[in-house]
Amino acid sequence: MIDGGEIKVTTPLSLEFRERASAGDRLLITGRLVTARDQAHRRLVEALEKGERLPLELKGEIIYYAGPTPAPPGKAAGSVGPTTSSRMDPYTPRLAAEGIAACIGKGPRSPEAKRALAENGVLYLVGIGGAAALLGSRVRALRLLAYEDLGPEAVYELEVEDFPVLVAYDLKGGDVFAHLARW
Amino acid sequence: MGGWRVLELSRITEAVEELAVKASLELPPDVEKALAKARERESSPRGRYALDMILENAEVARREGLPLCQDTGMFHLYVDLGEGVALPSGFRSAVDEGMRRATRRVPLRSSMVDFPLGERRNRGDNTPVHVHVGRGGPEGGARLTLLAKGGGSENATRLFMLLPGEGEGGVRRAVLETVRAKGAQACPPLVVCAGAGGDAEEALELALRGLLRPVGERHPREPLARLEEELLEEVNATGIGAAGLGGDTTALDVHLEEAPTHIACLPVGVVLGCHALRRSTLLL
Repeated sequence: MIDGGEIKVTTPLSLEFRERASAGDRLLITGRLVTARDQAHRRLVEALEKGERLPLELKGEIIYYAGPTPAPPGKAAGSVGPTTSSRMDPYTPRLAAEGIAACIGKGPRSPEAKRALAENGVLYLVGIGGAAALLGSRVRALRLLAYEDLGPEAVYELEVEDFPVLVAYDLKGGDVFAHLARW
Repeated sequence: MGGWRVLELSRITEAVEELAVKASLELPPDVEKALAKARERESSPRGRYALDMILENAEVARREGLPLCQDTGMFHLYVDLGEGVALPSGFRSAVDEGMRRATRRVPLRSSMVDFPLGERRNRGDNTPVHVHVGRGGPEGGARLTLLAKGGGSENATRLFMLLPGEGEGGVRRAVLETVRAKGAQACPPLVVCAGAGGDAEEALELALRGLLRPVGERHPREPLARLEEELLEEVNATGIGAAGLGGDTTALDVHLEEAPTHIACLPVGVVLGCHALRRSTLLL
Protein backbone atom coordinates (compact mmCIF):
# COMPACT_ATOMS: atom_id res chain seq x y z
CA MET A 1 0.00 0.00 0.00
CA ILE A 2 2.92 2.26 0.77
CA ASP A 3 3.59 3.02 -2.89
CA GLY A 4 -0.10 3.04 -3.67
CA GLY A 5 -0.57 6.54 -2.32
CA GLU A 6 -2.42 7.91 0.64
CA ILE A 7 -5.84 7.00 1.99
CA LYS A 8 -7.91 10.00 3.02
CA VAL A 9 -9.96 9.36 6.11
CA THR A 10 -12.27 11.43 8.30
CA THR A 11 -12.80 11.02 12.04
CA PRO A 12 -14.34 9.24 13.85
CA LEU A 13 -12.61 6.11 12.54
CA SER A 14 -15.32 3.49 12.19
CA LEU A 15 -14.75 -0.07 13.37
CA GLU A 16 -15.25 -1.17 9.77
CA PHE A 17 -12.42 1.10 8.62
CA ARG A 18 -10.18 -0.05 11.46
CA GLU A 19 -10.75 -3.71 10.60
CA ARG A 20 -9.89 -3.06 6.95
CA ALA A 21 -6.72 -1.03 7.57
CA SER A 22 -3.37 -2.77 7.05
CA ALA A 23 0.01 -2.14 8.63
CA GLY A 24 1.94 0.13 6.29
CA ASP A 25 -1.13 1.98 4.96
CA ARG A 26 -0.47 5.71 4.68
CA LEU A 27 -3.37 7.74 6.01
CA LEU A 28 -4.24 11.42 5.76
CA ILE A 29 -6.56 12.14 8.67
CA THR A 30 -9.02 15.00 8.68
CA GLY A 31 -10.99 15.67 11.84
CA ARG A 32 -10.33 15.54 15.55
CA LEU A 33 -7.38 14.27 17.60
CA VAL A 34 -6.99 14.52 21.38
CA THR A 35 -3.49 14.90 22.85
CA ALA A 36 -2.40 13.07 25.99
CA ARG A 37 1.13 12.19 27.04
CA ASP A 38 2.85 10.95 30.20
CA GLN A 39 1.18 12.98 32.94
CA ALA A 40 -2.27 13.16 31.33
CA HIS A 41 -2.22 9.35 30.98
CA ARG A 42 -1.31 9.02 34.63
CA ARG A 43 -4.20 11.26 35.67
CA LEU A 44 -6.75 9.65 33.35
CA VAL A 45 -5.92 6.16 34.56
CA GLU A 46 -5.88 7.24 38.22
CA ALA A 47 -9.31 8.80 37.77
CA LEU A 48 -10.65 5.64 36.08
CA GLU A 49 -9.33 3.47 38.88
CA LYS A 50 -10.98 5.66 41.51
CA GLY A 51 -14.20 5.55 39.54
CA GLU A 52 -14.13 9.33 39.01
CA ARG A 53 -15.73 11.11 36.09
CA LEU A 54 -13.21 11.93 33.34
CA PRO A 55 -12.86 15.49 32.05
CA LEU A 56 -13.44 14.16 28.51
CA GLU A 57 -15.19 11.30 26.75
CA LEU A 58 -12.60 8.78 25.48
CA LYS A 59 -14.85 6.52 23.44
CA GLY A 60 -14.14 6.72 19.72
CA GLU A 61 -11.34 9.28 20.10
CA ILE A 62 -7.90 9.22 18.50
CA ILE A 63 -5.39 9.78 21.29
CA TYR A 64 -2.27 11.59 20.08
CA TYR A 65 0.84 11.19 22.23
CA ALA A 66 2.10 14.73 21.86
CA GLY A 67 2.85 17.96 23.66
CA PRO A 68 2.72 20.93 21.28
CA THR A 69 4.88 24.05 21.29
CA PRO A 70 2.79 27.20 21.90
CA ALA A 71 1.25 28.69 18.74
CA PRO A 72 3.16 31.65 17.32
CA PRO A 73 1.03 34.78 16.72
CA GLY A 74 -1.30 34.32 13.75
CA LYS A 75 -0.99 30.51 13.63
CA ALA A 76 -3.49 27.87 14.77
CA ALA A 77 -0.79 25.78 16.41
CA GLY A 78 2.93 25.43 16.93
CA SER A 79 4.92 22.28 16.20
CA VAL A 80 3.31 19.04 17.28
CA GLY A 81 4.94 15.72 16.44
CA PRO A 82 4.50 12.38 18.18
CA THR A 83 6.42 11.41 21.31
CA THR A 84 7.72 7.91 22.17
CA SER A 85 4.72 5.62 22.58
CA SER A 86 6.33 3.00 24.80
CA ARG A 87 6.22 5.40 27.77
CA MET A 88 2.43 5.20 27.55
CA ASP A 89 2.43 1.36 27.44
CA PRO A 90 1.62 0.83 31.15
CA TYR A 91 -1.55 2.93 30.75
CA THR A 92 -2.58 1.68 27.33
CA PRO A 93 -4.63 -1.42 28.29
CA ARG A 94 -6.86 0.75 30.53
CA LEU A 95 -7.47 3.39 27.84
CA ALA A 96 -7.97 0.74 25.15
CA ALA A 97 -10.68 -0.82 27.32
CA GLU A 98 -12.43 2.59 27.40
CA GLY A 99 -13.04 2.28 23.69
CA ILE A 100 -10.59 4.67 22.05
CA ALA A 101 -10.47 4.16 18.28
CA ALA A 102 -6.76 4.70 17.70
CA CYS A 103 -3.64 6.16 19.15
CA ILE A 104 -0.82 8.00 17.40
CA GLY A 105 2.77 7.97 18.60
CA LYS A 106 6.18 6.81 17.46
CA GLY A 107 8.14 3.59 17.83
CA PRO A 108 7.30 0.02 18.86
CA ARG A 109 5.13 -0.96 21.86
CA SER A 110 5.37 -3.57 24.62
CA PRO A 111 3.76 -6.96 23.90
CA GLU A 112 1.11 -6.22 26.58
CA ALA A 113 0.16 -2.88 25.04
CA LYS A 114 0.12 -4.36 21.56
CA ARG A 115 -2.19 -7.17 22.64
CA ALA A 116 -4.54 -4.79 24.47
CA LEU A 117 -4.78 -2.56 21.40
CA ALA A 118 -5.65 -5.46 19.08
CA GLU A 119 -8.16 -7.02 21.51
CA ASN A 120 -10.03 -3.74 21.84
CA GLY A 121 -10.09 -2.88 18.15
CA VAL A 122 -7.67 0.03 18.55
CA LEU A 123 -5.40 0.93 15.62
CA TYR A 124 -1.85 1.98 16.43
CA LEU A 125 -0.74 4.74 14.09
CA VAL A 126 2.66 6.41 13.88
CA GLY A 127 3.64 9.86 12.80
CA ILE A 128 7.22 10.56 11.81
CA GLY A 129 8.98 11.61 15.01
CA GLY A 130 10.60 14.99 14.61
CA ALA A 131 8.44 16.04 11.66
CA ALA A 132 6.69 18.36 14.08
CA ALA A 133 6.63 21.59 12.07
CA LEU A 134 5.10 19.75 9.11
CA LEU A 135 2.52 18.04 11.34
CA GLY A 136 1.80 21.29 13.19
CA SER A 137 1.15 23.03 9.87
CA ARG A 138 -1.74 20.56 9.30
CA VAL A 139 -3.53 21.67 12.49
CA ARG A 140 -6.44 24.04 11.78
CA ALA A 141 -7.55 24.66 15.39
CA LEU A 142 -6.36 23.81 18.88
CA ARG A 143 -8.41 24.00 22.07
CA LEU A 144 -7.59 23.13 25.69
CA LEU A 145 -9.75 20.26 26.97
CA ALA A 146 -8.35 19.36 30.39
CA TYR A 147 -5.49 19.57 32.89
CA GLU A 148 -4.42 23.12 32.03
CA ASP A 149 -1.87 23.09 34.88
CA LEU A 150 0.20 20.54 32.92
CA GLY A 151 1.13 23.15 30.32
CA PRO A 152 2.44 21.34 27.23
CA GLU A 153 1.32 18.05 28.79
CA ALA A 154 -2.32 19.17 29.08
CA VAL A 155 -5.06 17.55 27.01
CA TYR A 156 -5.75 19.50 23.81
CA GLU A 157 -8.26 18.94 21.06
CA LEU A 158 -6.72 19.34 17.61
CA GLU A 159 -8.69 19.88 14.45
CA VAL A 160 -6.46 18.55 11.69
CA GLU A 161 -6.55 18.42 7.91
CA ASP A 162 -4.66 15.79 5.89
CA PHE A 163 -2.60 14.80 8.91
CA PRO A 164 -0.10 12.17 7.67
CA VAL A 165 0.30 8.93 9.66
CA LEU A 166 1.17 5.32 8.94
CA VAL A 167 -0.75 2.30 10.26
CA ALA A 168 1.83 0.62 12.54
CA TYR A 169 -0.25 -2.20 14.10
CA ASP A 170 -3.41 -3.29 12.34
CA LEU A 171 -6.10 -5.49 13.88
CA LYS A 172 -4.97 -8.55 11.91
CA GLY A 173 -1.52 -8.83 13.51
CA GLY A 174 0.32 -6.72 10.93
CA ASP A 175 3.26 -4.79 12.39
CA VAL A 176 5.55 -2.32 10.62
CA PHE A 177 8.12 -2.83 13.39
CA ALA A 178 8.31 -6.61 12.92
CA HIS A 179 11.88 -6.24 11.62
CA LEU A 180 12.98 -4.96 15.04
CA ALA A 181 12.12 -8.25 16.76
CA ARG A 182 15.03 -10.11 15.17
CA TRP A 183 17.31 -9.62 18.13
CA MET B 1 49.27 40.08 33.69
CA GLY B 2 46.99 42.84 32.37
CA GLY B 3 44.93 42.69 29.18
CA TRP B 4 42.34 40.09 30.16
CA ARG B 5 39.07 40.45 28.34
CA VAL B 6 35.98 39.71 30.38
CA LEU B 7 32.94 38.80 28.26
CA GLU B 8 29.98 41.13 28.69
CA LEU B 9 26.85 39.77 30.38
CA SER B 10 24.46 41.44 27.93
CA ARG B 11 26.34 40.01 24.93
CA ILE B 12 26.15 36.54 26.45
CA THR B 13 22.38 36.81 26.93
CA GLU B 14 21.90 38.05 23.35
CA ALA B 15 24.14 35.33 21.97
CA VAL B 16 22.29 32.54 23.77
CA GLU B 17 18.94 33.91 22.60
CA GLU B 18 20.12 34.03 18.97
CA LEU B 19 21.68 30.57 19.13
CA ALA B 20 18.57 29.00 20.68
CA VAL B 21 16.27 30.55 18.08
CA LYS B 22 18.49 29.51 15.17
CA ALA B 23 19.12 25.98 16.46
CA SER B 24 15.40 25.41 17.03
CA LEU B 25 14.29 26.54 13.56
CA GLU B 26 17.12 25.61 11.19
CA LEU B 27 18.67 22.22 10.62
CA PRO B 28 22.48 22.58 10.31
CA PRO B 29 23.57 22.31 6.63
CA ASP B 30 25.77 19.24 7.26
CA VAL B 31 22.80 17.36 8.76
CA GLU B 32 20.35 18.38 6.02
CA LYS B 33 22.85 17.42 3.33
CA ALA B 34 23.42 14.01 4.92
CA LEU B 35 19.66 13.42 5.12
CA ALA B 36 19.20 14.35 1.46
CA LYS B 37 22.03 11.99 0.46
CA ALA B 38 20.48 9.20 2.53
CA ARG B 39 17.12 9.79 0.81
CA GLU B 40 18.74 9.32 -2.62
CA ARG B 41 20.30 6.03 -1.57
CA GLU B 42 17.37 4.64 0.43
CA SER B 43 15.91 1.47 -1.07
CA SER B 44 12.99 0.94 1.33
CA PRO B 45 9.69 2.67 0.43
CA ARG B 46 8.88 3.19 4.12
CA GLY B 47 12.35 4.58 4.71
CA ARG B 48 11.83 6.98 1.81
CA TYR B 49 8.43 8.01 3.22
CA ALA B 50 10.08 8.89 6.56
CA LEU B 51 13.06 10.70 4.98
CA ASP B 52 10.81 12.69 2.64
CA MET B 53 8.79 13.85 5.58
CA ILE B 54 11.89 14.73 7.61
CA LEU B 55 13.30 16.80 4.72
CA GLU B 56 9.96 18.52 4.10
CA ASN B 57 9.77 19.25 7.83
CA ALA B 58 13.06 21.14 7.68
CA GLU B 59 11.64 23.32 4.89
CA VAL B 60 8.38 24.00 6.72
CA ALA B 61 10.24 24.87 9.95
CA ARG B 62 12.47 27.37 8.16
CA ARG B 63 9.67 28.89 6.10
CA GLU B 64 7.01 29.09 8.82
CA GLY B 65 9.29 29.85 11.77
CA LEU B 66 8.08 26.72 13.58
CA PRO B 67 10.40 24.64 15.77
CA LEU B 68 11.82 21.60 13.94
CA CYS B 69 10.50 19.38 16.72
CA GLN B 70 7.83 19.95 19.37
CA ASP B 71 10.38 18.60 21.82
CA THR B 72 12.52 21.69 21.67
CA GLY B 73 14.94 19.92 23.96
CA MET B 74 17.20 20.29 26.94
CA PHE B 75 19.81 22.87 26.13
CA HIS B 76 23.58 22.58 26.45
CA LEU B 77 25.91 25.54 25.98
CA TYR B 78 29.53 24.81 25.11
CA VAL B 79 31.85 27.72 25.81
CA ASP B 80 35.35 27.36 24.39
CA LEU B 81 37.42 30.20 25.77
CA GLY B 82 40.45 31.55 23.93
CA GLU B 83 43.67 32.76 25.54
CA GLY B 84 43.26 35.89 27.64
CA VAL B 85 39.46 35.63 28.02
CA ALA B 86 37.46 35.20 31.22
CA LEU B 87 33.81 34.76 32.12
CA PRO B 88 32.08 37.44 34.19
CA SER B 89 30.42 36.73 37.50
CA GLY B 90 26.72 36.15 36.87
CA PHE B 91 27.55 34.23 33.69
CA ARG B 92 25.08 31.38 34.28
CA SER B 93 22.20 33.76 35.02
CA ALA B 94 22.95 35.63 31.80
CA VAL B 95 22.84 32.34 29.87
CA ASP B 96 19.50 31.37 31.41
CA GLU B 97 18.09 34.81 30.63
CA GLY B 98 18.93 34.28 26.95
CA MET B 99 17.12 30.94 27.09
CA ARG B 100 14.05 32.56 28.67
CA ARG B 101 13.95 35.16 25.89
CA ALA B 102 14.24 32.53 23.14
CA THR B 103 11.48 30.45 24.76
CA ARG B 104 9.11 33.44 24.65
CA ARG B 105 10.20 34.59 21.20
CA VAL B 106 9.84 31.47 19.01
CA PRO B 107 7.90 30.32 21.15
CA LEU B 108 9.55 27.09 22.32
CA ARG B 109 7.82 24.43 24.37
CA SER B 110 8.91 24.50 27.96
CA SER B 111 10.13 20.99 28.58
CA MET B 112 11.93 21.33 31.91
CA VAL B 113 10.21 20.30 35.15
CA ASP B 114 11.08 20.70 38.83
CA PHE B 115 10.71 17.93 41.42
CA PRO B 116 11.42 15.07 38.98
CA LEU B 117 10.45 12.36 41.47
CA GLY B 118 6.99 13.64 42.22
CA GLU B 119 5.14 16.72 41.15
CA ARG B 120 7.18 17.30 37.96
CA ARG B 121 6.11 20.94 37.86
CA ASN B 122 6.93 22.67 34.59
CA ARG B 123 9.46 25.48 35.07
CA GLY B 124 8.04 27.38 32.11
CA ASP B 125 11.27 28.74 30.64
CA ASN B 126 13.56 25.85 29.60
CA THR B 127 16.15 26.74 32.22
CA PRO B 128 18.63 25.76 33.44
CA VAL B 129 20.91 25.52 30.43
CA HIS B 130 23.67 22.96 31.02
CA VAL B 131 26.94 24.85 30.69
CA HIS B 132 30.20 23.18 29.62
CA VAL B 133 33.23 25.48 29.82
CA GLY B 134 36.46 24.54 28.13
CA ARG B 135 39.47 25.91 26.28
CA GLY B 136 40.39 26.07 22.60
CA GLY B 137 38.43 29.13 21.47
CA PRO B 138 39.88 31.89 19.29
CA GLU B 139 42.56 34.05 20.95
CA GLY B 140 40.97 36.97 22.77
CA GLY B 141 37.45 35.59 22.21
CA ALA B 142 35.15 32.66 22.80
CA ARG B 143 33.27 30.15 20.69
CA LEU B 144 29.71 29.49 21.88
CA THR B 145 27.83 26.43 20.65
CA LEU B 146 24.30 25.64 21.72
CA LEU B 147 22.98 22.07 21.46
CA ALA B 148 19.32 21.13 21.90
CA LYS B 149 18.82 17.51 22.94
CA GLY B 150 15.36 15.94 22.86
CA GLY B 151 14.05 13.71 25.66
CA GLY B 152 13.31 10.74 23.43
CA SER B 153 16.90 10.36 22.34
CA GLU B 154 18.16 11.30 25.81
CA ASN B 155 16.34 8.25 27.21
CA ALA B 156 18.47 6.09 24.91
CA THR B 157 21.76 7.12 26.57
CA ARG B 158 23.83 4.31 28.10
CA LEU B 159 26.97 3.97 30.18
CA PHE B 160 29.14 0.84 30.05
CA MET B 161 31.93 0.31 32.58
CA LEU B 162 33.97 -2.13 30.48
CA LEU B 163 37.06 -4.13 31.42
CA PRO B 164 40.24 -2.52 30.04
CA GLY B 165 40.96 -5.62 27.96
CA GLU B 166 37.64 -5.40 26.12
CA GLY B 167 39.06 -2.59 24.01
CA GLU B 168 37.70 -1.95 20.54
CA GLY B 169 35.43 -5.00 20.59
CA GLY B 170 33.84 -3.74 23.80
CA VAL B 171 33.13 -0.35 22.28
CA ARG B 172 31.62 -2.05 19.24
CA ARG B 173 29.30 -4.15 21.45
CA ALA B 174 28.32 -1.12 23.55
CA VAL B 175 27.37 0.89 20.48
CA LEU B 176 25.42 -1.89 18.78
CA GLU B 177 23.63 -2.93 21.99
CA THR B 178 22.47 0.65 22.57
CA VAL B 179 21.33 1.10 18.98
CA ARG B 180 19.43 -2.23 18.97
CA ALA B 181 17.79 -1.60 22.34
CA LYS B 182 16.83 2.03 21.89
CA GLY B 183 17.59 3.18 18.36
CA ALA B 184 14.05 2.88 16.99
CA GLN B 185 12.72 5.19 19.71
CA ALA B 186 15.42 7.81 19.43
CA CYS B 187 14.19 9.19 16.07
CA PRO B 188 16.56 7.65 13.52
CA PRO B 189 18.45 8.41 11.30
CA LEU B 190 20.74 8.89 14.28
CA VAL B 191 24.13 10.39 14.86
CA VAL B 192 25.62 7.74 17.14
CA CYS B 193 28.31 9.00 19.51
CA ALA B 194 30.52 7.07 21.91
CA GLY B 195 33.04 8.45 24.37
CA ALA B 196 35.74 6.06 25.59
CA GLY B 197 37.97 6.81 28.57
CA GLY B 198 38.01 9.36 31.37
CA ASP B 199 35.68 8.43 34.22
CA ALA B 200 31.98 7.64 34.00
CA GLU B 201 31.04 11.30 33.83
CA GLU B 202 33.66 12.17 31.23
CA ALA B 203 32.78 9.21 29.00
CA LEU B 204 29.21 10.51 28.73
CA GLU B 205 30.39 14.09 28.35
CA LEU B 206 32.68 13.05 25.48
CA ALA B 207 29.87 11.15 23.81
CA LEU B 208 27.50 14.12 23.99
CA ARG B 209 30.20 16.38 22.63
CA GLY B 210 30.47 14.04 19.66
CA LEU B 211 27.21 15.59 18.44
CA LEU B 212 29.06 18.88 17.85
CA ARG B 213 31.36 17.37 15.23
CA PRO B 214 30.04 17.89 11.67
CA VAL B 215 28.35 14.86 10.14
CA GLY B 216 30.77 13.18 7.74
CA GLU B 217 33.93 14.33 9.52
CA ARG B 218 36.20 11.54 10.74
CA HIS B 219 38.21 11.36 13.97
CA PRO B 220 41.78 12.60 13.37
CA ARG B 221 43.31 9.40 14.80
CA GLU B 222 43.29 6.59 12.24
CA PRO B 223 42.23 3.63 14.42
CA LEU B 224 39.19 5.59 15.60
CA ALA B 225 38.39 6.90 12.12
CA ARG B 226 38.40 3.32 10.80
CA LEU B 227 36.25 2.09 13.71
CA GLU B 228 33.76 4.89 13.04
CA GLU B 229 33.38 3.78 9.43
CA GLU B 230 33.01 0.12 10.36
CA LEU B 231 30.46 0.91 13.07
CA LEU B 232 28.45 3.11 10.69
CA GLU B 233 28.13 0.13 8.36
CA GLU B 234 27.15 -2.19 11.20
CA VAL B 235 24.59 0.22 12.61
CA ASN B 236 23.00 0.62 9.19
CA ALA B 237 23.05 -3.15 8.71
CA THR B 238 20.62 -3.48 11.66
CA GLY B 239 17.90 -2.39 9.24
CA ILE B 240 16.10 -0.33 11.92
CA GLY B 241 15.76 2.42 9.35
CA ALA B 242 14.47 5.99 9.38
CA ALA B 243 11.77 6.43 12.05
CA GLY B 244 12.33 2.74 12.88
CA LEU B 245 10.28 1.78 9.82
CA GLY B 246 13.01 -0.32 8.23
CA GLY B 247 15.54 0.51 5.54
CA ASP B 248 19.15 1.34 4.84
CA THR B 249 19.43 4.51 6.91
CA THR B 250 19.62 3.94 10.67
CA ALA B 251 22.47 6.39 11.23
CA LEU B 252 23.91 9.35 9.36
CA ASP B 253 27.24 8.96 11.11
CA VAL B 254 29.14 7.48 14.05
CA HIS B 255 31.46 9.71 16.08
CA LEU B 256 33.95 8.34 18.60
CA GLU B 257 35.83 10.45 21.13
CA GLU B 258 38.54 9.43 23.60
CA ALA B 259 40.27 10.69 26.73
CA PRO B 260 42.94 9.41 29.16
CA THR B 261 41.57 6.96 31.70
CA HIS B 262 42.61 4.99 34.82
CA ILE B 263 44.66 1.79 34.46
CA ALA B 264 41.74 -0.22 35.87
CA CYS B 265 39.02 1.38 33.74
CA LEU B 266 37.40 1.57 30.34
CA PRO B 267 34.21 3.63 30.67
CA VAL B 268 32.20 3.97 27.46
CA GLY B 269 29.29 6.39 27.17
CA VAL B 270 26.90 6.05 24.24
CA VAL B 271 24.66 8.92 23.18
CA LEU B 272 22.17 8.79 20.30
CA GLY B 273 21.42 12.06 18.55
CA CYS B 274 18.07 12.21 16.72
CA HIS B 275 17.81 13.31 13.07
CA ALA B 276 16.78 16.79 14.23
CA LEU B 277 20.34 17.41 15.39
CA ARG B 278 20.01 20.98 16.51
CA ARG B 279 23.16 22.98 17.13
CA SER B 280 24.33 26.46 16.36
CA THR B 281 27.64 28.29 16.86
CA LEU B 282 28.89 31.87 17.06
CA LEU B 283 32.05 33.70 18.09
CA LEU B 284 32.16 36.38 20.76
